[in-house]
Amino acid sequence: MRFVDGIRPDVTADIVYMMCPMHLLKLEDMMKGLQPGQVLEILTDYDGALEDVPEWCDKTGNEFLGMSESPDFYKLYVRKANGCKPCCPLNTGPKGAGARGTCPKDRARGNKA
Amino acid sequence: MYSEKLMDHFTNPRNVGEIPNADGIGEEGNPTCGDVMKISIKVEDGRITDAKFRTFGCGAAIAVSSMVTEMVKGKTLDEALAITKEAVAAELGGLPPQKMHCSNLGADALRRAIEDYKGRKGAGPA
Amino acid sequence: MRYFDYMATNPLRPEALEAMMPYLKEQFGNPLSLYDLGGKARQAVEDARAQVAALINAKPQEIIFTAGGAEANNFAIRGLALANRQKGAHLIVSRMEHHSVLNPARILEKEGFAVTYLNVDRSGAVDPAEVEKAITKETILISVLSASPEVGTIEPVDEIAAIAAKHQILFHTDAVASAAYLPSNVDKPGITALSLSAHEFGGPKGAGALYVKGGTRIMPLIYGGIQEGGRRAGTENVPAIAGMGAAASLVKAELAEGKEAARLSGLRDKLIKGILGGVENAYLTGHPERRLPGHASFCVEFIEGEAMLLMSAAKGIYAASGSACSSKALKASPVLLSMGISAQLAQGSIVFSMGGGTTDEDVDYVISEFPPVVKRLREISPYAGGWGEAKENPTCIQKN
Repeated sequence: MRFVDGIRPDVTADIVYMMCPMHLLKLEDMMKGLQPGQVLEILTDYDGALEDVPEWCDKTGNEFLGMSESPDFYKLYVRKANGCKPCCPLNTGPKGAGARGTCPKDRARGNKA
Repeated sequence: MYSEKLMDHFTNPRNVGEIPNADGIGEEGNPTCGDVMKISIKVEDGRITDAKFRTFGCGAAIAVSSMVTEMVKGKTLDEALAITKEAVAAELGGLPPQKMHCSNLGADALRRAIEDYKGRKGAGPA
Repeated sequence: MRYFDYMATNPLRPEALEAMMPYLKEQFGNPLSLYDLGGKARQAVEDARAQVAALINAKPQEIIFTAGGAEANNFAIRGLALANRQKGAHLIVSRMEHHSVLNPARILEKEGFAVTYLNVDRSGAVDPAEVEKAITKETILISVLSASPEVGTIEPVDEIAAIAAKHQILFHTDAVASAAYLPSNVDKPGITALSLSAHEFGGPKGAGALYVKGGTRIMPLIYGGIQEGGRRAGTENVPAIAGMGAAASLVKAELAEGKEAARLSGLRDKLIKGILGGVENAYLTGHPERRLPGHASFCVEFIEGEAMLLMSAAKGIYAASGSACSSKALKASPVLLSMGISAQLAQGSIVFSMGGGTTDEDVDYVISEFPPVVKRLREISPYAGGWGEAKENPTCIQKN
């Protein structure tokens, strides 16, 4: 994990106390509203976000800038790429699985909620 | 929540009042807790010939008082003392669990009235 | 039947039932499903969200649907306290609160929070100055209800909200009892959260909502789903939510018009006058003026509330009581006791609450038929002539 400091985000998504898959749904939702080049800051206390958010960026072609830690939660930074791939990891699973809110991590563990 | 029999004893309670020159008076309960029963009895030749009550309390408490005063009439003191809360509740067609204490109060007020009678008898000329 | 228990529940408004029907029948979809059956259900939930938001002047995304008022209150107290623990661990709640506020507060005490329980005056009103005095550096949340369902008193919510805003403390108000009668406006500084229950304003049972001001962190009570933005997991009760939305729209229109509140205030004043005039040793509980339209509550001396309810019910009058015997727990109403009403007088509590279906003739009927109920029970009571030597006994041990 890359630690960063002093990033000035354009938009902040406070999802502290929200668990999987809200971090990915909120991320996708917020990114839609951003202009290319703008930076989203995600505040979360959900450990799974540390893996899922960089992975989401890989899949969608957005840039994961890194994270900074504050006492109670993580701050993750994502820069919107030019021409973001319209891909949502939640919809790559079997039809309906996204609707049930199945976590990509849980699926990877073979844990069919 | 209440049986028909209980509702009958609540809406048409028997033996309301107090007996003038009663032979024994018993009171149980406290108004701050919700129920007070006051039972007065008349005793002749060791048998309870009359019983009356006044009650501050809920529907079950009033019905229990009415039923207890009905049940003791004609009974000897020992028979009356043997009346249990379960017996009163059964006569009323059952009581909801949270109202069982009402039948307890009825039996206790009766016991106190009998004790009061025995105390007076013991203290006075035999 | 003369129904005088609108604080317990309301009949379902026909328009609410109509709004619910499609979702009980053919539109049975899960709002999260991607096909159009799901879309219709999703739309119903979102429409209702906008309707409920409009009732209290909130934004739709600030409304979280719950299974009712009790859940909304639990969620507010627990969710806001736990989410803000790092800022402090002190809560302030009034003694007038419903158990769904008080009990979560008590549980939080066991978990290390400190709670101040605000005393109230004889009318059941919270003094805003007392709220401000209770604030410490650790205070993170204040909860005071909008109006009491037991005694009808309207609390000074706006003043308390202003104090909360000044000290930057979260403020929750339980508006379950007041929503049908008084307009609520959350769009001003100070109000962080507000609880609603659908069946208290003509919606169905099983639906409620918690308003949470945008940007406020709250810890979910129920995890495991993305419904309600991940804040409240579980497939939505779509029919009930649709019914709640329809009822909220009707109430909003009614409150804007003001006629119904004026009518109910008239009935309330007539009933209060009639009971106090027709029954000796009866006392109005709650505030004489600052009280909910349609709410008339009394303590009737020397008799007990449950017996009054039963005997009134036999005459077709359905009312409520805060007496020990009328409660399943067999404890006198803590609300009445906290107002300084003696335990024995509190046993004679009776509450008449009115709503849309209550007519002038219903009120006349109660005014003529209730006094004989009191008279009959006093004939049975040993205290008809006064309390005599009956003493206060704070420890009532129920023998079984």
